Amino acid sequence: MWNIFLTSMKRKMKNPIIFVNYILLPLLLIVILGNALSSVFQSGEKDAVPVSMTKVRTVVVNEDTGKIGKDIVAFLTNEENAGMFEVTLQTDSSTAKKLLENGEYDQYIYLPKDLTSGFTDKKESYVTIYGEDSNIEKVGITGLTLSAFGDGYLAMDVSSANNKAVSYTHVYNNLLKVGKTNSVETTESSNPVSALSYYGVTMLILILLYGLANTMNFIQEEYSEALGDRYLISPVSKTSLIMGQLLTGCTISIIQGLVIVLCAKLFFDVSYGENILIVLFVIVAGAIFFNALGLILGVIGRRFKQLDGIVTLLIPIMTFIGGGFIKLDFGALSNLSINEVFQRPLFNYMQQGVIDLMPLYSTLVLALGFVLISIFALTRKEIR
Amino acid sequence: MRTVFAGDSINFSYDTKKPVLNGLSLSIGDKQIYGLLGPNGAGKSTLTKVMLGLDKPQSGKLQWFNEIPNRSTNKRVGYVPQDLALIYDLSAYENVLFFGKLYGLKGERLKKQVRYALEFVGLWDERKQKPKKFSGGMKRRLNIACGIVHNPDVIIFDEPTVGVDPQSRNRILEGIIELNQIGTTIIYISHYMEEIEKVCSHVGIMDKGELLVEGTLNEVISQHTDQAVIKLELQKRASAYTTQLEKYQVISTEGNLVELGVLKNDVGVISSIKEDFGDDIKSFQYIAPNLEQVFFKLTKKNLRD
Repeated sequence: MWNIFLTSMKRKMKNPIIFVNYILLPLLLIVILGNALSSVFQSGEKDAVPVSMTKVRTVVVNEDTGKIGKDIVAFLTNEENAGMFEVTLQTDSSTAKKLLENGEYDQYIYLPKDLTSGFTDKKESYVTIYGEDSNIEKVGITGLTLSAFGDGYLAMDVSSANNKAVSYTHVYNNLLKVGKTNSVETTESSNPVSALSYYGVTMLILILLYGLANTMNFIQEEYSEALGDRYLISPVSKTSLIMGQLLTGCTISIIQGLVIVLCAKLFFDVSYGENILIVLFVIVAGAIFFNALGLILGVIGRRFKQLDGIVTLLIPIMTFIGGGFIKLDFGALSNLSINEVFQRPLFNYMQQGVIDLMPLYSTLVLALGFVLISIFALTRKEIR
Repeated sequence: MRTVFAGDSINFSYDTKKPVLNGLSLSIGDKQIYGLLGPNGAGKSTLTKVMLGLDKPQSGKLQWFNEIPNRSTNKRVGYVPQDLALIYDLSAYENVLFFGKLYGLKGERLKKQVRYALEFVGLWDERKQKPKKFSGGMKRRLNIACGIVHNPDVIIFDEPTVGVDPQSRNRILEGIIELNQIGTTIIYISHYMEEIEKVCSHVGIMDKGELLVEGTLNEVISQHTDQAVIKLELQKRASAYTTQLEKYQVISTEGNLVELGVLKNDVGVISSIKEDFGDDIKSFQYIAPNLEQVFFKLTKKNLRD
């Protein structure tokens, strides 16, 4: 096995394609794609930038004499919300509606008199927000703001004032049950990935994927003709032959992956997250899986020359639908991309700090199966 | 004589319809140069693969050195395939070194054997060059070096001289004889009848997956043909001698050249020819019975058909 490994390594290390195509090229792609397509990533980055927003002109009629009505009015007019709402209090509901219809206000919030008592008696009661169709977004924001208020025990009914037929009725009482103290779920904020870091990941996986083609081609060339016969009649066991080739492929892929990660971090400030062990694990798992897959394809497809063309075509397709070249969401289609299996854990870790390596463990189990089948398929046939 | 290889009732087919090896039995003795002859499709290459364990026979028994083939017997067999089995991104030296290591050679013995193999095929001075820079003949010789580096007891040569220049061809044939002289058994597969006649002590003729005949070269020739050939060059075209030629077995005519089949040692027919053609005979050549005639008689085919 070591003879096969060392000789194959020597042969591969002499090959400039290993370095030029499989290290420099992905680094160039990280830079080129990362800069050229950086605008695609800016929507995520904008979240961190403060934006100015026009105040929502709000008229409030509070008929509730209890605590909840007062608290809502206080909430809408507090210092934090002063930048968002311009609140005017009215006592008469019909006047408030007219002001809304006249366009003097963007929305009208009605707090009924049974709001507090309804809560106390564990009966449903509603805060109603009226708004014009043109202001439905603002009304929606207010609805969400109120639903997030306090313990969130309100139900709200938002309707369009001037078009009853097409009324917008959003009942939020599913979110907020009376008498319960449910906090409104908030989505944990994710760290946006920069364009360079995004391509730092996708190009890393792409290069690991090319390990498949390299190993497959190598096996096809070595074992298809007379040279393969020479290997197979030698006293070297088939397990040693297979493991020697796998070890070579994995070593090359791991070296390529490490060089790319190192260069990307040093020269382009690509971030792979704080725990470099996660990236290392992805590289090792990817190297083993893709090379084992290349091994089995090479062994089984030794006499099927077209396989090379098919794989060469599939690699960029897989990368494309996995969003490797352009950050596009292909939905369920992207699950067909084998790149996704390795990209996703890295992105999840980089964006949300979530470490989920289970898919990678699965690929290692699969790789073991590929290796065993390869040994079986290459096994010299015993003579009776 | 010790038997090196014995095959008994070997049957092999790629599909069930047409057997490639049809109950073939074969025995090769120690230190022989055994020539295996057969027309295209006779099953020679398949027999080689079966002997090497690359293909598994459906039935029959094989033995190398009186043992069922195993890792130990594999080490004692060398193979020089018809197609070049070289690693083109390694130098000639590295190629031979690599295959030596595959057969478990190490250290000084490995280096010594690599040098021996490369010197044997006359490529020691070119050892640092990569085979892609070699001529066809040099590649063939390197192919041989890779097959003999582990100093096997038996070497199977499969058409080793195909596509090589006469100089390299002679060198290869001389090398094969030399290997045999130091005690190596040679199994030699070739299309070239004259090569078989030149180097082989024993011969087996195959056709349609069966071994038609085997024995020493002289045995095969003497036992399977008694026909000699007389080649005549006449003054006029052969058509001018129609009456005279009716008496003889005409093999071929071309212009003023005529080939006649005669019984070997038939002195009377020679006198008769001299009487019939007299001074019209420009040249006369007697060709004793040979392997080609045996081959033709047994297979009804020329070797290159």
